[in-house]
Amino acid sequence: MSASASAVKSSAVMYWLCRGVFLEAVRRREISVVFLFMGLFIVGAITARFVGAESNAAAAFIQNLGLSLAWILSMIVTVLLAGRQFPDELEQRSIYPLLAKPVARRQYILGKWLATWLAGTATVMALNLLALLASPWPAGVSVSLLVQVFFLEMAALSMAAAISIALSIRLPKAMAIVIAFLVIFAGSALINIIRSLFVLNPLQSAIEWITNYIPGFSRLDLVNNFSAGEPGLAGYDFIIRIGYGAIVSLFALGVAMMLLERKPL
Amino acid sequence: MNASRQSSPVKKIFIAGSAFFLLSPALLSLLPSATTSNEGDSPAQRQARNASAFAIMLGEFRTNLGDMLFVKTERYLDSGVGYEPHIDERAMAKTGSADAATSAGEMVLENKLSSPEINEALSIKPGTVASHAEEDNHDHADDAASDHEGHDHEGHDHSDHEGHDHDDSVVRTLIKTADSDFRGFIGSLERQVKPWRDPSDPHQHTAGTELLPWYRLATLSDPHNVRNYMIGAWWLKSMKTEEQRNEALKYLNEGVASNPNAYELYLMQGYVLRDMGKLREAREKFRVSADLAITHRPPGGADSTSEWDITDDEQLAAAMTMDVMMTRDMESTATAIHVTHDYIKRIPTEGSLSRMLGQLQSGN
Repeated sequence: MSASASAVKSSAVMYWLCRGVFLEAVRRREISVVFLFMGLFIVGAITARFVGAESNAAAAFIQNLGLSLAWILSMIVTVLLAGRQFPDELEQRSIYPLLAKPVARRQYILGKWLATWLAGTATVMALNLLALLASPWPAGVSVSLLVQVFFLEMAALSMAAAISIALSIRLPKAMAIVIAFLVIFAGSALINIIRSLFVLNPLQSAIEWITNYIPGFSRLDLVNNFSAGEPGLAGYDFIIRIGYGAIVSLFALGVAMMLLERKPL
Repeated sequence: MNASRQSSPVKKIFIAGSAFFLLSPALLSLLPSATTSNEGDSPAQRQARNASAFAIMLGEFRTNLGDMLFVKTERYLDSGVGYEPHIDERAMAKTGSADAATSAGEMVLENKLSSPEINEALSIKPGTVASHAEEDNHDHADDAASDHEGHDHEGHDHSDHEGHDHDDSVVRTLIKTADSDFRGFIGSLERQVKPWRDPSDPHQHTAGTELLPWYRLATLSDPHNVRNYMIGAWWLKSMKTEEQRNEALKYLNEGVASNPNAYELYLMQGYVLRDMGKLREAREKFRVSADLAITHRPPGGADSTSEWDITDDEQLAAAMTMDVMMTRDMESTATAIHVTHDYIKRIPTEGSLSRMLGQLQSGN
């Protein structure tokens, strides 16, 4: 098979895998629930504007609430979607005809990750857009930081999708999803607690190094910084954060592929 | 054969991913620390963090565990009674009056971190600076000393203040009084079953030492929450035993290790060491604190930026004064004058230094 034919085949596989995930997301109505929640926010935000809550503090509050909701809801959608892909397909036995196509296992993982990441990205972008349209625009916020926030959210969603998929290969679906949520929403607190226990300890530096292996999603969540009117991140700072997201995603994908390769089906 | 060919790219991806991941802490170490309000503990960063929509809506369940625990400790100090935020720190900084008082927590903080003895040394009249909010808000009447343990009285014991009465009528409780509560019976029920005091009654403060585990937990969850280190160390120090002072010092050393630029921690280290009789070490800490604070202080002082408020100015003044006074006592007045001149050269706008210089030169 020529290289170009292989590439076409690979992209076709990706397309079908992505399509399947998107269809499932719509069928399961998770996206609808998310948009329903956002709808409630929009009604509240528009009502607040009508009743004259237009002070800068009120505007910052409403916008922050909208953007924070977008971040949280899109994370939930991504983890739920990614965490149940493999367990559900294994349970329904739909993975067997898929792998018999033949689709390489690594392609399967890559396709599922891409699909869930794109679904999460589409969700967060749509929700962010709705939040920004419904909220008054506060004075003094940095547009450049807002753009960086969007890119960092994409990096975080990529990490969330990859980690959820990796966890779901070996763990039961519910456990994989719960652990993914804990890592995402409580990982930073866990890092702090572990580090604090070793302050002024000879092992302090080693522990700091080791705890950096716990994925820290708060490094990629700068919504509050944006609302607080902070300036955009310096170029290298932004690139490091994006690079961190890419590295964690790559590692989690590598682990997921390796686990699936070795899993007897 | 086929399987091994298939797994080869996977191995490559896995090895590459693992290699990058193993090196990722080195990448993170390149990130400037505490550049965002998520990570820092300056007044502005703290305010920004707690002004987020989720922090406001969730109240005590803050976005930051350290801040949440700080609020928890306030509630404990007030015997479980929740008081409304009542201090406007910014307004207070501008007017110098405690009438424009921030949150109850900030008020406790202001009181905890103020240094009346320093103000006395500087001949600052009570009420002219924010830290003397306490004097503005409290009458000295016939209350038990135990009602006052929630306040910092750095430099003077509670016995000095036996009989404070808190004129806290301006501070409303979160659960409204019967007059202003539209809920009728439900409101009465809540006042009965939950910790509540009439806002016109003096606050009833519990022993702050009971809060020490909370401060410990707060700094464990957020080692960059400097104010928790400060207040926790103050409570330990206030127990006045050698063991607790050592604990306070250990706690502060831990805080310094996590926040090497937090000048206020060195100030507190100085106080603890002074209480332990280690005067030279104490003076060294005061000097380090002053040097660090001067480095961070914007040229315009408290009014010029949100990163630096009147409490910072006060703590800087405290560090410099302690350094100068201890130099006078340990060495000579001439050396103290020399140290004061050095400080004046670095921050000529600080009026308290000129007053201190005048006092030193006049031999007072």
